[in-house]
Amino acid sequence: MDATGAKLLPFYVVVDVSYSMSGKKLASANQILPRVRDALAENPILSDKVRIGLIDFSSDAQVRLPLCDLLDPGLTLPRLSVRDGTSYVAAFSLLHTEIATNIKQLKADGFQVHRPAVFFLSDGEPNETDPEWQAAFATLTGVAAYPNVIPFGVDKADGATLARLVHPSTGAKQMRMYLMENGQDPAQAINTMAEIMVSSVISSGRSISQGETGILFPDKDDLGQGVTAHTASDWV
Amino acid sequence: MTAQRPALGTAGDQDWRGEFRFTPYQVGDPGRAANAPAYPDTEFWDCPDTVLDGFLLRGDGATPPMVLRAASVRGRAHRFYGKVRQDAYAFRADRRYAVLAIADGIGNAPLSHFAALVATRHGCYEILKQLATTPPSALNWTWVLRVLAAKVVTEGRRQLATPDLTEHDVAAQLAATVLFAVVGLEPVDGCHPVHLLAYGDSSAWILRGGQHWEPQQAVKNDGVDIASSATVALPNLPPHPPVPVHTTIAPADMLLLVSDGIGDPLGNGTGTVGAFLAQHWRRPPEPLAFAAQVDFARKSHDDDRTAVAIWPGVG
Repeated sequence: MDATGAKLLPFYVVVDVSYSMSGKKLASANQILPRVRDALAENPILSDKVRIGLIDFSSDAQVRLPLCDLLDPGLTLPRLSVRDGTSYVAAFSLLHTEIATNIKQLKADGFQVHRPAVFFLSDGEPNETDPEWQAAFATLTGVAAYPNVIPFGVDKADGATLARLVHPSTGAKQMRMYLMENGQDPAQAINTMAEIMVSSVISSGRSISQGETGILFPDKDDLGQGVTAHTASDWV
Repeated sequence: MTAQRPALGTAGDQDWRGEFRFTPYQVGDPGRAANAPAYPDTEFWDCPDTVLDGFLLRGDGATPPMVLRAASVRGRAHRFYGKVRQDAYAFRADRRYAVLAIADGIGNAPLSHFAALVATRHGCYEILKQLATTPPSALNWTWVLRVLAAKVVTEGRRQLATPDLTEHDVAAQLAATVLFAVVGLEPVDGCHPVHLLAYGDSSAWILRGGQHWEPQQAVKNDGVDIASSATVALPNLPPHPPVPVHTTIAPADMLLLVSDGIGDPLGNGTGTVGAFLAQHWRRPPEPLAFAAQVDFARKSHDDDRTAVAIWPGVG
């Protein structure tokens, strides 16, 4: 049915599936999309507008769920499994082409696409050199339709590295980063981060109904256990 | 012996007539929000979900009166979240001019519905006062906006009961876009002069000859990669005053002012929403029907909606 002019708010969940993510961490990561879906099922206002995609990455990156309506009755949510190492270059490159392709198609279909947001979850350091992954990240964020990037780090992920992925990192619409507190259980931290993602999807989706554009985050006091919020400048 | 009286409500009882059959309007995919429940805003019990009007406006001369319809309805998002309607409309007229206004309160400022009411009502009053001594083409719009910004700030301080609040802090609590139209009630060479001023993303349209929608401003988000719902709004003032638009409407035309709750789905006017509104609004509908049409369901379009329409030639 005709939907010309419909407003869309795209979210991409990008999950590290290197070998170190195996076990309880991956089980928690596999609960992210079901949690988002359950929240959307409660909110007909949001589910008309929010679209979710899932990309996983290790040495390569794969689109595990193309950008879609999570409440589509024909949909089966993918289950992530671990493989190989940790390539940020693969993740950023695929994200870049995927976002560009999706926006082009959605615009051709007559949608009004709001700025995409990326939830980037990793538990370790990239295998590439800094200049390599930074070049791929610059390509991802160097276009007019750049995404807002919100990194989530658990376990061995380095705050200093992930701070480089907060985008935009300055200005009125700067994004945030979420890190597991030292000594916490990483799987539990991922559960908490999933709740942060759900909360952000809901408040951001609501904000575009209110004449505002932007990604909103839960208050620092409402983060749940074992996770802290940071701006990029916390690491500079 | 008295005659048997027919039972109440049977065919024999002709003391009343009329019927209200209503199927909610849907345009294209209505979306899940079409069936979302509506809740009141428990902080603002006295702000109605929907307001509407319908009447004739008469000029000085022998010209037939103009027909006006207006409706402001709470969007499905505000209904679902239990939030007050932040749109408003107002009008004033003498025997020469009709002044029409709509305003759209900025969503993230919680008292914006007060800004919308003040801007529309006082704006119409201020403009009509100027028109007593000034032709519409010479209206001092910069002055009007400055007066309204001050009125919004005063209203904000009053509502918040903090007289020393800075303008910046007031604007975080209440802000609204405004759109004004001044319509000459007497035609000049067969057409009615119209003067428009928009500050923010509300929009004016003319349904030419009942056939096609002619936007009176640049179409929002036209040609951009990433859509934005950000807009300018009172009490913040523009660095450069907005430029008024001068046009005319013929007897077969209709002038429409809308908030972005309608402007966004209307797009450039050539799509399904444009066809739907043109078909129903070629001639003035009943006021209740007009409000129901303003409230049409369409996927993802859940903002408050306001429309004020004027038909010059059918009264």
